[in-house]
Amino acid sequence: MSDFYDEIGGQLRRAHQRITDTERQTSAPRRARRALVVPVLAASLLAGTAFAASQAWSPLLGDSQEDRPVAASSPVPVDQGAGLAVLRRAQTAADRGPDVRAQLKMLVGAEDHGIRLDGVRRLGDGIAPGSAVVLIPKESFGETSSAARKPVLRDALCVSYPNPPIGDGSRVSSASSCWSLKQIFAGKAYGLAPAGPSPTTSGMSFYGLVPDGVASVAITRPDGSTAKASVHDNFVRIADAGTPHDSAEVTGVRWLDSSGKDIAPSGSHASDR
Amino acid sequence: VVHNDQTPDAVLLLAARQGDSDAFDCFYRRYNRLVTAYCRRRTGDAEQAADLMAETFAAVLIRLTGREPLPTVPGAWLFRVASNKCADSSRRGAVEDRARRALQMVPVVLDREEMTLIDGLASAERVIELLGELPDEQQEAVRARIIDEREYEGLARELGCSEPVVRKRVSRGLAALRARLESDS
Repeated sequence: MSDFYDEIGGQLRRAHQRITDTERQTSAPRRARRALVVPVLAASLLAGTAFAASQAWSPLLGDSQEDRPVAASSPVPVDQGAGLAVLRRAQTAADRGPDVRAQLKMLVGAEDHGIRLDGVRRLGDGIAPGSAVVLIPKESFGETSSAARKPVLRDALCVSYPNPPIGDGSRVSSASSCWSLKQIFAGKAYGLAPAGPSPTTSGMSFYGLVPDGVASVAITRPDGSTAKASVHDNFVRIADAGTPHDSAEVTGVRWLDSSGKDIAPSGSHASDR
Repeated sequence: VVHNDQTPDAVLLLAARQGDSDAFDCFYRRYNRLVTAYCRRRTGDAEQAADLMAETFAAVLIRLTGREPLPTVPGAWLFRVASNKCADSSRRGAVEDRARRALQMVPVVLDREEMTLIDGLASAERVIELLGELPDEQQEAVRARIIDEREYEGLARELGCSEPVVRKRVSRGLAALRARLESDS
């Protein structure tokens, strides 16, 4: 007798394989299309000029005909600009580059609402070749359907973090972490991501957004060892945060100012989760 | 890559996201009985518990293939999904099958022997008995987080420790419960 655990497990396995096969088939053209635009934009990337805030920019948002997000009708809120220097600096050519646009094409209309293109910033390189970690402010983030599990987050500040290349590299995907400004000030805007193609060997990266004034971030691993990284554009990433097993147990996240002194997260904002 | 009992949950989920079906299967086998036991306790019905277990793992699989960052404590996350499914079924008077339909899964019919097994596996007394065998700190954390569905933040304040410490206690408590239930069956 094949018990019901095996039967359900078998169905789940087949479903997983179908999803995997479908993703392989559908992501290959996307990858190819992205490769084509790189040479075209290389010249403007090299120029490194800043765009005026008012200069029109209409990148493709999402890549599904049925479920495309729309650009915001409102600008980045003043308080977000006041708290995060990355939003005060001018948008550069790199902020509108092909690797950033690739992340914008991964947005989905069902949960990404009102993309604030004036606040899109390239935060750093992704793990996959030619990919970027991107800050994408949104009017709101989260499913609005009645079946949604989580409340919608208003004025969301989202980091689109590319996943490692999968298989032959033709499958591209990214994780999206979104926080409110208050959560950033409260020291709650952190995430974990695989640091390389093999999570077992390459471990996890710790990343997050921090407010102005935080020059570096230090974490303590369960074994007591520490790791530290500088903040750039209000973004921090520590590549060797630990293995997947113990990274959940990263403790003692510390904010440090430029002189190495501790900065306390804003406790008054801690209740806004 | 070969996965075994020592492979951390987070590694299994990462590998599953990358297309490794063996990894998801390993995660499923690791938790299926415990989730069934949990759902049986919540619903009082063996057939519903089996349906809820299948729906829970189907929903987890869908989430895994999406864009959301992976959970830092997969076991607790799994039970949060199961808890939501149980609450839904209670409200609706029927077990939701949205995730299973999305994955083209078909209902599984239990025979009497299997229903008896679930009933025995998941009797409230047995779960409580097993819970009582855990060290006090783990017992307190698992009970508060999984059964009472408390948030980590509030628990950390109440227990006078950091959120990561609470997460660690829940994670270890669940692992111990899982091992005990597996030895039962």
